[in-house]
Amino acid sequence: MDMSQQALAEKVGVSRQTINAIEKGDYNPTLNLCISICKALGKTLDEVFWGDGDS
Amino acid sequence: MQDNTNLNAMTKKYKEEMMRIYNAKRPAAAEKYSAENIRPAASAVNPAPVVKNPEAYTAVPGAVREKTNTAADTSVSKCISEADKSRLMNPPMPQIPSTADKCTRSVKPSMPEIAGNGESAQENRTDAARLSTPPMPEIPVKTANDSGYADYSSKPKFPTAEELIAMDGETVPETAQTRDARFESSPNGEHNRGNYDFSVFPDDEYNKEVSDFGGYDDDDLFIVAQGYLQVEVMAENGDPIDSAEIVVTEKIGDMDTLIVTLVTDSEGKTEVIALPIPHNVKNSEYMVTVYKEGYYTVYNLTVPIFDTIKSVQPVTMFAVKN
Repeated sequence: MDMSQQALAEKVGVSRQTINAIEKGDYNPTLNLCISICKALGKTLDEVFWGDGDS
Repeated sequence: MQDNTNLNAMTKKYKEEMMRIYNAKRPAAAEKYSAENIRPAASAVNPAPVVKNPEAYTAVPGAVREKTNTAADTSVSKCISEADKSRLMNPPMPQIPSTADKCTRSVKPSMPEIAGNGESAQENRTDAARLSTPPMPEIPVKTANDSGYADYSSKPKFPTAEELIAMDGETVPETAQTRDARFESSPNGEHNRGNYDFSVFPDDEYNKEVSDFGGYDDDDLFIVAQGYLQVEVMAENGDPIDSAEIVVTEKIGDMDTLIVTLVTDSEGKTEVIALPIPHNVKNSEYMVTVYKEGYYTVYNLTVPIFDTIKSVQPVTMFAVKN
């Protein structure tokens, strides 16, 4: 995924630390934030949150 | 009058004879029922039965009465009429204890033996023995205290608040020193109040900007963990917005509680504030609302705060077009 945490955070309107916590599994995002992340990445919810973790 | 005098005398004599027979049998009865939780010594403390009102005795219809070999019974049969004899020979039944009353239930001892003649005597032996038996004194079974079970006859006694205090001794109020020592000795002592290690931030610039959150009294709040928040406000074109008002609230129950208000500087950034995190969660969520004249207000932006981590929350505001 050619997008930094900072760029994704700015795109969805959250802090970079929030994106980092989501990736580490320390924070459960709201559904609205999940949808925003999917739109920013151009992927579906299954691909982002139910994938094998490569992204 | 003469008949009544004789009757009373015969009644007394009869009762005495029956009690003699009964008392002669009682040790054997107590021995027999000793294995069934009867305290043998109880027979010694039981008073002898007293028949206060023989006139209240009622005859049992159809009951066949037999002659006995005892002298008392023979004398009674000679001196009193059939009706009186029937009344005398049928005392009230011994009271059968209720099974529900387990603490005071009694066991009926063995009946005095009454000799009989012929087949009818054998058939009616049980009825005759039952009907001729005077009221039996109650022999108490083992009480709750004897058996080791709880005594339900009285309410359990719990210590009062004063007694508890007396047992614990004098209460020593906790001081700041004892509290800090207790916190430092806890497993998560590194997160305790007053024991922060700001070197966790790689950049010294962060350490200079971190300021303690002053919303709570230091002595009243036990902050197990805390994170840090900085809000960065910019316009849609990326230009920083200064003098924007930021209100940080926390949802406690159903109410939004005001935590702190901030104002952005010329770079569109606020100061870094420390926010508490409950001890049993990984993060704590706060709400950020940003006001700026000429821009649409951003309401209740949810910002998670993580332990020892400074979160920089970007906020993009859109200008109101005239």
